[in-house]
Amino acid sequence: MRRWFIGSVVASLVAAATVAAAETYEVDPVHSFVFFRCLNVAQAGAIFVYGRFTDIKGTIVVDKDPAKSSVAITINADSLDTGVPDRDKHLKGPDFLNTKQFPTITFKSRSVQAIDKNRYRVTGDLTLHGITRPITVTVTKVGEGKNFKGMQVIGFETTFVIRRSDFGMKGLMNVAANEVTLTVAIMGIKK
Amino acid sequence: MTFLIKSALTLSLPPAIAVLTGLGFTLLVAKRGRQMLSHWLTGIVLTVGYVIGHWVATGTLPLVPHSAEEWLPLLALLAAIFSALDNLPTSPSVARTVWRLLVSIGAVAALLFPSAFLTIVAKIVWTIGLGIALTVLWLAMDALAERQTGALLPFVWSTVAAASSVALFVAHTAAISQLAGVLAAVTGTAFLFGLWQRQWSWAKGAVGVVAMLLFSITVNGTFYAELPFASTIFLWLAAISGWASSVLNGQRLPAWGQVAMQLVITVVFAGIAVGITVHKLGLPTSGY
Repeated sequence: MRRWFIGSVVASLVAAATVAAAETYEVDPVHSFVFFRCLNVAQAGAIFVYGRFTDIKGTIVVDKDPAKSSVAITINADSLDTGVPDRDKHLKGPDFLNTKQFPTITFKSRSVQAIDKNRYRVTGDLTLHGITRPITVTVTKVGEGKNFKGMQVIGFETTFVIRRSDFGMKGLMNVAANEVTLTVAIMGIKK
Repeated sequence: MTFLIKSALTLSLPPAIAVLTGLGFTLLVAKRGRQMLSHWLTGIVLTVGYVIGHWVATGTLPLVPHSAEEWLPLLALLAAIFSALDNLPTSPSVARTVWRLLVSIGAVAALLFPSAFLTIVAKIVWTIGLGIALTVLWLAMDALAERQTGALLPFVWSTVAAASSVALFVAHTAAISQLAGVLAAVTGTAFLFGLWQRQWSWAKGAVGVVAMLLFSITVNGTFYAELPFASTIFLWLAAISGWASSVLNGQRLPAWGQVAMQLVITVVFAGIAVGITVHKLGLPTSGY
């Protein structure tokens, strides 16, 4: 009886500790950024085009055990902005992102492994242009703590390269390069 | 300019060579007395030419389409294959209309159902409406092809496809503009063949493919790029300018006058289509 009681208490404490260890953060669109960079082949490859997506949503679950952590991000593809309206229309049109058929870009993690104190190897599914491919990226924790409003925040950043042809955007290689560098910087606010 | 010329040649030469070779083979078939087979083969040849150009332009030719524009080669093939029904001696005109309507509605459904911005009701309404429009365009083009042989119709189609290419480029889609350019190259080659073979009929084969491609390319531009719907309608009207010529009593004119009138109407309608697009969207600020 005594052994059963001690066992129950230990189990409850472990369960409580597990719950306490997992913290859920909502992606803050004001302080989150998704930038892209692509070589402008039509300009003789002399310059990169830079742009960003301004509408980002998602959830980050941070656990003391990284294997139990996860991230899910949804980007409104139509929120692309390169600073030139004609270029934005072209990139959002059927030549590239085709946002009227594929309005969102999503990433959903499948595994998180710690590399060291602040770096993680995150593997997940990136869905872009309606095609889902597995990717693995190295994510750096930029910082965490209470912000000036007293809210618990956490921020991560990663830069990686994708090939647009892997996501079905195979045309106009003489206009824009196949390789696109993405920088994702997201800050989450604890729920 | 060198960039544009190089791109145009890269896109247009492979389909042009394929069409010229294929039409040469079809001519041999016709000369052996297989007229009906040659009609059908003409559509197949134009389809093969377009498919090659589509592959060169997009770098892809998937058997299972992922997006609306990827349906174009399959829809052209569908139109070409079903055109065999027109060559059946027992095929009644009602049956010809019905199979066109069914194929047209299926084609428009393939183009519109991938859209994420239309509700299911809107998709159904547009599919039925545009399916009927494609059937009418197809029948009208077919009837013209029964009357006009040789080079005139392919010249009209090539002019309309070229105008579509310009309008689509203004509507911020170089990729679909290139596909219209491929169609212009295919029909332009048919025009050169028609200059040589002045009695060559484009009915019961080629018409279905051209109607399907012109319609599908412009619908893609309207729904997924920014081609104004009014421009699209004028491009369709330009493709059947021969009927406008008839309405305006062009038959009273001598043969050369009828041809001139049809060409003027084609150019005017195509010009209006491009003009509406430029008026609405402005000239493209190239070089970004």
